[in-house]
Amino acid sequence: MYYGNVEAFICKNSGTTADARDVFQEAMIAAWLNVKEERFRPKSEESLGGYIFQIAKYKWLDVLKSKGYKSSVRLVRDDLVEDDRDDFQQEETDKRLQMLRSIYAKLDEKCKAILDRFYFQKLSLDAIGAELEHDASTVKTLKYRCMQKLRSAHLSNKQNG
Amino acid sequence: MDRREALFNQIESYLRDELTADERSAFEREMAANTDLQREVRVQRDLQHAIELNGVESTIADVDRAYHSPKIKSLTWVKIAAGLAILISVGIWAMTRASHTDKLFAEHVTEEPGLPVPMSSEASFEFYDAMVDFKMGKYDLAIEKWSLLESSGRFNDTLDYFIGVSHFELGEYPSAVERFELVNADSEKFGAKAQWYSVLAYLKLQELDKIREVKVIPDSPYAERIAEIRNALD
Repeated sequence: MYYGNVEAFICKNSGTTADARDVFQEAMIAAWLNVKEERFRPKSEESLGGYIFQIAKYKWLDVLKSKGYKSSVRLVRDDLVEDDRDDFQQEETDKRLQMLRSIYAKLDEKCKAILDRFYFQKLSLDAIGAELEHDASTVKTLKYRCMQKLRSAHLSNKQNG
Repeated sequence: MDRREALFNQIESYLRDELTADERSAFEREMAANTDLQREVRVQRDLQHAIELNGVESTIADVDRAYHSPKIKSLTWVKIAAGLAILISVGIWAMTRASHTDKLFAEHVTEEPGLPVPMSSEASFEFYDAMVDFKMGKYDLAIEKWSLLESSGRFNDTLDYFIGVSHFELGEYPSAVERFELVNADSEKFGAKAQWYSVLAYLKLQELDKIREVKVIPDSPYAERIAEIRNALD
């Protein structure tokens, strides 16, 4: 349902369905992070959907403002007016996403396999051990070491930028 | 296990909501007084978010591929289902949290009766004229009149506090908090009250970390109630 609104909006404003898919995915990820980090608190499913649409709208506005579209596009929707506050939040979210992605990228595959299972898939140490052929206490030690690697990557990221 | 690893495990239990209510309260008390610990919690939270972000992005990409592919492996669907369940749970968690804080707000909200209006108050006529509006629930008008006093050069804790409460009563919580922040914490009459209303406003705004971070003014008559709210948030 929410994707349909985003697609309709983007297609009416010089975009394609492929653009809509990309923008919608980015908007969902940004919404997820903002809910997770309590920058947005949905009061209902509708408000979450509306929020995703809003982010998608601003993301598409950014695309339209970019070089390739600068002189050739006239927006169909009259209400597509810039809002500094939303722009600001979007920028902050984008920076957070970029930072989180860059520190994760520094992990090796073995660490990714353990940490993904524990922190994202919420598997127990035993279940991870069974899957990766280790005992639970080894998984726990490896998990800790991997988190320390991630921590170092995060701290050096902060120092450099 | 060394101290560093023990601390890591303790923070992890806190972030994963695995501490008992007492352990959590003790941990948060320690955190309130220890900026190094606060920083470490923030770092560890970032690390967990980095890992979860990768999972969310992979899941969304899988859903997109699955939607546009006629052939899909059953294993991928399992992964998609697990990922979507997590995405949905984040939304549900946020919604549940909202209703819980609304209940807390309703249990604790207090009414500011305003200041008694003296029979003769020529020196502060404009101030008490607005106070009459405040007492009658005409908060917009009261704000307008008190703001006029400010534009003529009068700034003090009393004005900030009552303009703050007026915004609060109008449901304009961010503006209310801005005003309460201007009230001097040492103000005998208004410091603790402004802090109390800020806590209530944070509840409405769902800014729960700010409630946890509040450094309660010594001897505040609201200290116990702020502690109750903090405990209930655990």
